[in-house]
Amino acid sequence: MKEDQLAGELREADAAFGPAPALPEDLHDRVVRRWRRRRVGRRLSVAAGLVAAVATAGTWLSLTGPTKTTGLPPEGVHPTASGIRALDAAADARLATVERMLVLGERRRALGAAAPAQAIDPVEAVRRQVDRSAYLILLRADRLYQVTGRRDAAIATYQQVIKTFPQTRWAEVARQRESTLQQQTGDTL
Amino acid sequence: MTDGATHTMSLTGRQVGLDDTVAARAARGESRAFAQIVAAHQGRVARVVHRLLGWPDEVEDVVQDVFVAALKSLPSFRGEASLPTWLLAIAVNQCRSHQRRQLVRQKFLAAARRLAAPRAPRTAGSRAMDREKHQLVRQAVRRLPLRLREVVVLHYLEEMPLEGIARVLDLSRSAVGTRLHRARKRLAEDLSGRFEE
Repeated sequence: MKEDQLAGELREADAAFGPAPALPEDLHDRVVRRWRRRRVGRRLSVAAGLVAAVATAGTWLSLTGPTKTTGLPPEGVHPTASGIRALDAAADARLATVERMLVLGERRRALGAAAPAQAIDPVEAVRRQVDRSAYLILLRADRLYQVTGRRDAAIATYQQVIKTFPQTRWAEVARQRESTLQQQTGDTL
Repeated sequence: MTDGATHTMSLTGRQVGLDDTVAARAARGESRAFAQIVAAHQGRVARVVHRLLGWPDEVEDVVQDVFVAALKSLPSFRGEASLPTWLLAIAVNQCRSHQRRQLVRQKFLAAARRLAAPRAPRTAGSRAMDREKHQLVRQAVRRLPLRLREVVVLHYLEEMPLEGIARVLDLSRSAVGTRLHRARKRLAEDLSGRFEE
């Protein structure tokens, strides 16, 4: 097929198809609207890309941050001498922290145990002390009579308990024992 | 058919200067100037797009893309080529992009819409034979790779000289001649075999 014949066939085929499809009368307005839409789309894409980049960077920093603050090397990396020293220092620091926490715990427990004792009523404490003194004097009177046989001295000591500590239970005991000694004295006489 | 082409090719220096002035005004953001460009060149752009894409039923989308790209690139238009040549180059690029998108779409949808059936039913007589012959010619052109179809459309249908085609496609004159020779050879092989049937 010669070039002229080919050109003729092409032009005939093109002409037979007719003109190009009609375009809308407001083509210019449509073009401008499409251009604006694409410009806005490009800006939104850029903004979305920036947001994604910031989010990615934030995630990366949050994942890698703790490793940097603790001095621990990332997984899969063999520590060097300086890395080992850093690990030792980190371990010592943690042990010291644990020891401090244990001491504080002991102190808190001791304070917790001591608190009930300190909470005793002072009046009750005085009462206990008075009761103890009365008992000791009563005990001395008993020993005067039982060990040395000094009845009069024992009766005088019982009377001292009755006079000095009349509100205690030992005053009643002293009264009974004085009465007993008095009876023994009367029987003897 | 070739009125537009001859009109464009016979642009006087005064017309070219007028186009450059309008383009400069449009580049400065004058909407009216860009509307003038669209109104003056939409016919030829639509015709070239129609032929380059293989005579489809719808070309408005691609034509809009051509003028959107032109609006975007107007600030960089320096007037080294005439406004019609510059618009033709944009149209060729947009047709290439459209063709790529169509190929991707066809791969996924498995729809050969570009090679659709003939629009007119077959009728008896010599007129029907002519229609069939024209259909075969158009199908042969459609089967050409786009880079060969471009030179065929611009040379034989738009009646542009090789120098003008070289400016539009940003090629050397000899490269355009080579492509045209290959396109002619393939078309001749394709059509001669079918016409003999």
